[in-house]
Amino acid sequence: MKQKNFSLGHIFKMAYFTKTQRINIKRWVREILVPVEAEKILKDEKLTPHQKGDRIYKLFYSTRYPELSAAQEKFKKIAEKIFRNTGARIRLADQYFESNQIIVEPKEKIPDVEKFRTDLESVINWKPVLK
Amino acid sequence: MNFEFSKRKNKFIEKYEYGKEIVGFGEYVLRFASSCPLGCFYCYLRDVNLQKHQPTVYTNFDKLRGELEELCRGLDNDCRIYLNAGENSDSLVFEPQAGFIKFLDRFISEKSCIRQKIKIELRTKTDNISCLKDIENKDRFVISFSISPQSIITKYEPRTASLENRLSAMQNCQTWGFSVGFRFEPIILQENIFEEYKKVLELAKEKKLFNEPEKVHSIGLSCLRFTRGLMKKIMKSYSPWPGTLLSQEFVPCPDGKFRYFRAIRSRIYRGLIDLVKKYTSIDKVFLSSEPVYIWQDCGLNPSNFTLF
Repeated sequence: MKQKNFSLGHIFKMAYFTKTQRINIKRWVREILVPVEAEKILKDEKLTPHQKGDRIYKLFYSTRYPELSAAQEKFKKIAEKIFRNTGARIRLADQYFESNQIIVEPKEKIPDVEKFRTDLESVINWKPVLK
Repeated sequence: MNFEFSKRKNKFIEKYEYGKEIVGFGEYVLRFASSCPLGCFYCYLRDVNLQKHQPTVYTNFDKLRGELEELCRGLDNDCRIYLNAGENSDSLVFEPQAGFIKFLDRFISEKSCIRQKIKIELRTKTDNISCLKDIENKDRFVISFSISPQSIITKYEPRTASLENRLSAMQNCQTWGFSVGFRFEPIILQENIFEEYKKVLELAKEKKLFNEPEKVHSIGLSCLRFTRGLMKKIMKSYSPWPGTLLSQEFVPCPDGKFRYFRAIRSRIYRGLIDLVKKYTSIDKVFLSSEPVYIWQDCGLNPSNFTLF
């Protein structure tokens, strides 16, 4: 559903997006109510077009996929915490959580990462396999 | 119902391809028609068939007999065949004109040696069950009904029987001696989803469908899923409902299909399994077309489950 007074052209003029981001945004505005915060971001004079683009894209993404984006954010925070504590980088084998695998680099850090298993499981209540 | 008869050139029976990482049950699929006239809005057949022509029912049963015999010949002592006749069309919608069910019944009667080794699932969204009453081998057939809340039926399955009629048909099937299958499929996410399914189960209980657990073959759950092509088709269609159907959080899965985000699916399944447990002692609950990790998320073990 589209909001009144909302113009896709206006957003594309004020903020910078990659080609794929533009395609996604065009699709999402047909499916969601455009969040009011978008206008605030566009009007913020301190931000560059690239920063505006990033923030608006993130905003649209989290509006379109609230649960998925929340889980991804939560995972990101846990990954940052693990990196700070152990030096190991972890990432999902599949960004949509459709896999039980978490990739750990370097592999020798796995024992330390095991300590964060509870944190990881709290993301969506699953049993990840560390690889 | 308009349809035409024809001879099938390809195989009638094939082993079902579940897709990458999807839990399979070793089913065979029996394709006796080219398409389904019910035209449910979310159906994968919309992507597969162009539906320019009216459905074709294949009646060269001699070929089917040959395939069935060949399949049975290859059976070892412990092997069982579970034949799903509702994969690419509603199993009952062309009856009694097609005569397909009578043929299967006759085949089983003739082949007494394989009688205990074969089970045929007829899956329907209709209440066209009169053709089943006189079947001899009732214990060899499972009559599965796709069950959804009435609000979903009204929106997305306009040419099918109402919920009330489907449950009444199930009741009749049980009375005639069949075991019936509940197929909560597709489960479409909506605001009051558990309330809606609670009403469905209450209605089923009212109709005494859970009174004799041995007359319920199984309860299958499966959330809505789309191929990429079907998603595009739905977006372009003129129905008033694509927004509500596609506006949920769909993500690509290992088998290439799009399903609700894992956390949403698991939550739906867990909620429905709990609901089912409140209304019935039937423990033959399974997830259809889901990977192992979703079964595990829901506390189910696929290795303990068999459809036969």
